[in-house]
Amino acid sequence: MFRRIRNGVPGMAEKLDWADPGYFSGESRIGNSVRVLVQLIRPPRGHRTIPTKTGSMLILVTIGVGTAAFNSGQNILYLALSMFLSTILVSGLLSWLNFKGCRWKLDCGRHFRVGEPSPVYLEIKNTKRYLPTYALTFLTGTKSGKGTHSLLLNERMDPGCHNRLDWYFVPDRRGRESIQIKGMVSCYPFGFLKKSISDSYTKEVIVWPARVPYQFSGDKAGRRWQFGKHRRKGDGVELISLRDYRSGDSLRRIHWKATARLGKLQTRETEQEHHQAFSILVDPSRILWANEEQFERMCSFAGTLAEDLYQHDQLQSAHVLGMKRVVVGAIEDLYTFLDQLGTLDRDGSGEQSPAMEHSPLTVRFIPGPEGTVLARMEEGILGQA
Amino acid sequence: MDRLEQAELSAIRWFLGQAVLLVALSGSFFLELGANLLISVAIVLVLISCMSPRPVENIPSMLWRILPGFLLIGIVTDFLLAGGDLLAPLFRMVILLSLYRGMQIRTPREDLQLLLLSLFLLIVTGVLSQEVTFAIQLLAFAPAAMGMLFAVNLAAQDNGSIKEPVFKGFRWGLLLHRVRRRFDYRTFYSGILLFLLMTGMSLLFFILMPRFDIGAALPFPRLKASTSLSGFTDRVEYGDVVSILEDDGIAMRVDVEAPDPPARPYWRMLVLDAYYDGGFLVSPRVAREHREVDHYRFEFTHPGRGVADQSIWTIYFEGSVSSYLPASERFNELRFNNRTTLHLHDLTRVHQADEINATTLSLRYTGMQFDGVVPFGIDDDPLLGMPPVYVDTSGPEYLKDVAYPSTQLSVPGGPENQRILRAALDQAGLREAMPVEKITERLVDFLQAGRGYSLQSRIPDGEADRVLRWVESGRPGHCELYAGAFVLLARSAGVPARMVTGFVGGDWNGFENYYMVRHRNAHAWCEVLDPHRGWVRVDPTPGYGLDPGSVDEAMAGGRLSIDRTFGAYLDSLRILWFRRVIQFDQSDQEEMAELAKSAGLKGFSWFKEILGRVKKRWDRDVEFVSTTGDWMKVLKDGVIVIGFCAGILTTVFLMLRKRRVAHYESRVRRQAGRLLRERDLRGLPSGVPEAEVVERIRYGPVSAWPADPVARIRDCRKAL
Repeated sequence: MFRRIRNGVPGMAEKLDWADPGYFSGESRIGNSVRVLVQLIRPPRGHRTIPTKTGSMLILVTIGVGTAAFNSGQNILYLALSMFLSTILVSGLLSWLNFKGCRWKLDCGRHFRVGEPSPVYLEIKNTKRYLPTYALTFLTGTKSGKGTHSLLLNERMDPGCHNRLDWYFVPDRRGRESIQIKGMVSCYPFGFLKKSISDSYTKEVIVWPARVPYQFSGDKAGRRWQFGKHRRKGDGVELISLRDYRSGDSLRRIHWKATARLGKLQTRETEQEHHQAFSILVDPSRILWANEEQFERMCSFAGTLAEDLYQHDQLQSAHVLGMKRVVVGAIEDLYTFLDQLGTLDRDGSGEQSPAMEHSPLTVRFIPGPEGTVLARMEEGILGQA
Repeated sequence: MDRLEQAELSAIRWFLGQAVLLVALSGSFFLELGANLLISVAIVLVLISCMSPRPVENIPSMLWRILPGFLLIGIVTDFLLAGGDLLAPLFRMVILLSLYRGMQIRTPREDLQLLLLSLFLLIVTGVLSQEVTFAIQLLAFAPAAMGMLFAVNLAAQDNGSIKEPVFKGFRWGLLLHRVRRRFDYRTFYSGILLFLLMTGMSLLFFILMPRFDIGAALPFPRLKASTSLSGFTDRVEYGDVVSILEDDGIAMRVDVEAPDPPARPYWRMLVLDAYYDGGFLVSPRVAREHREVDHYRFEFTHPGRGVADQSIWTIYFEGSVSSYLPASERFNELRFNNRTTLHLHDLTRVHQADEINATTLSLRYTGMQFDGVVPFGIDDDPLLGMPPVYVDTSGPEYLKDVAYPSTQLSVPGGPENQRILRAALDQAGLREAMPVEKITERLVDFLQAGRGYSLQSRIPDGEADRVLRWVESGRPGHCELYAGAFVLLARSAGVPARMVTGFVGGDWNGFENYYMVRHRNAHAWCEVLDPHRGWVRVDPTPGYGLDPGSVDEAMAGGRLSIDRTFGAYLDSLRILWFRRVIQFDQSDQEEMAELAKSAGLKGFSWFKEILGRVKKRWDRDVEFVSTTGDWMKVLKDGVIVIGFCAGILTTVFLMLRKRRVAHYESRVRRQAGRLLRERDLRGLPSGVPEAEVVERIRYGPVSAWPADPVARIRDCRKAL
């Protein structure tokens, strides 16, 4: 029995949800026992037991020996046949027991970005009291991806123990992705029977756009923006002028060289550190972005730029037209914007936020020549990807 | 976690493969198929490879590529030279291939091949030998094979491939140390339980599997021996039977399911009707005229059947003794486990297998009669009243002119032979028209008078036949001489007589109560034709005259040798093996079912009796109370019963309640989860009340559940 985990369902307690094979899902012990017996003969949907090559060979040998035994009445052959049959049965029983008591859940990192490996953790625990668990293979994959990745638990997992298997998932496209445990397989104990339990344990994630190289000259915009205005005095490091010491000035602001030269205490006056905080505006209009590839590049550019600006403490807000504006304060706000970029589709709404329209440090994105994407502000083009 | 490395697991897998091969080879050693040298070499090589596996790794791979060609040539040559015998060259081929695989560093696929080859060797050995060692081998083979396959499973790497073992720097001490460190007592005990479970299930399958009375031929060619013991061939010379007497090995084991079996039964195997100076032989007509029957069940409906009861005598006849099969004078039916070709000599009423068995042959007789009387044969009438036939018995050439039944009255001619015979008859006091019984008695007395038993008998030289010279000498002798002498004297007296060889008596195994007939029980005696009864057994050898009676009578009188030695105990295990496994058939299954049924009925009647007693006591108490009104006296009985019932009910109630509490929550969550899965709510906009309710039940704490969550789930199911 597998469960879907959905992120961000409001109002719920934290879901610590372990999946299990679903052998004993009823209330009554007798009912469970009957169900298990029936399942051993007629496995439920998703449960398969097929013989491996070794198992097929054993079955063939058993049929051969059995035929000879029934024809000849040789008790030695009956003895051998009994041994083979009991081996097959015990193998099936142990295979079933190996899954019993197993619990597993999927967890993954916060970030998934196109082209970058991100860890996916498969936590397994053995809730059996006495028996260990061996040789389980978990088949993982994504809904959109081709192929399946196998995670092999090749260590013994003692009763009550946990284990963790790691997988690095490299998304190849932006958007919503479902990471699945497609099933479990085990050939325990002797490799005669391959028992598999399949279903979809799904964890949904959002894949952010890939990082792209770009050019962006933000201080040019800043200087131009500051041109002609009085430079404010403050606590920065850039020296504007020197003046005589006044009572109350901090001793740290005394310029000692100038003081020695002039013979009287001089205080440094420095410029106030001006903080350039940009806003990013993303317009996903189909009219603007006719080219799908350019649109993807725009998303990547916007995301990469937002991250870099955030790292330099220069990102004030980010807005995707048609979605709620995100004022970037904490890292989670940036993630929210990147999530929006991850799930962004081209649309024809053309909605514009009146407030952002008038912000002078708003970076917008427009298609450029030869598939490039340009970043512009009011004054002109500032960057390109 | 300190786990074994992949290479170490692969090394363990390799060693277990060697163990499997050793188990298979060790059992094959005792089959006489001309492969003993090959098997010895194989065992030695495998043992060396186990002790020091590094040289195996250093064998160049080129060798393994060119060796199959040479092997193929050798195998084909072996088959061609075998001259139609398939079994021995097939056996050798399998051993060669197993050795080829055993001396390599194997991949898992090659391990599987080795396993199959070893399994084939094991099963063939078991079917051909049918020995108890097969069970021991199987018990050793199974865990080794399972361990090997388990190691293959554990050694699988992430990409599905398996690392080959690396023996560079290998040391046993290091590997064992690593295994000990990684040892988990739970896995060990689980392994033991698993093995016991498998063994138990195997036994159950073995007992319950249906047996069909088809009696078809064996799927393998039967193992046959090239020679038999010297005393049990068509031609027995003096000393042949005696030579067997020094062998203490067991010739056959006889399991008896009959009331009052005789303490010293005579096992009739071979009838030698023709005499010559030097021994006795089967005359050409008797050897030639026989019926060949191919079946597994032979009913003997000739006049004078065996006893009316269905007593069963099972003889486990060891290999390489004789193609002639032991039997009593009369019996009703003979059964084999499988279809067998039998030669029935109706003239002398002996039966002979098509070939000398090399391994234990199982014969099941019904209605055996040991009264010492063989009914008249189909050609015995002319013998009645026929005078002796005097022939030149210096060699068997006279048999060209004298044929059965006249051979049974053939007496050595010549003056010296006649003189001795006449003198002997006179000394025996034989008269004209004496009944056969009297003649027999007189002749036995004559031969035994003043003579004893000796295996070493020096016969004086002379012109007469050897046995007549011995008669005249008065020296002690052995059974062949006594029997031979009696036959000649009886024939001279006009009584048809012949020599019979076989076994007599045997030791009684005190552990499992069966006969252990050894080679030293081989014996020669005579049969004389009584016109009123038929061929009557006569044993002229001293010490064999007095009948010890039945087994019980002989035990009581100390006349039966009971073997309770350690050897007898080990032998009893073998008979148990034959009884419970080899001979296990439909009748045994029915017997076990009857036993189980009677045990069940017994248990049920015991329970019914207990209930009856309880009810009786209860009725008595009720009557007591109703008459006297005194409740206290019966309170004691009531308290115990009521307390017992209340205790059981309370325990059950508490267990159910606890389980209900524990399972209720998980059951309801599972119902909610099932609904979510079935309806695929993902994608529905959030805020749908029904979806939120179901999610809350599925994932939220119990305190957040709505009242009656099961009903809400039902309602939501309808709504969604």
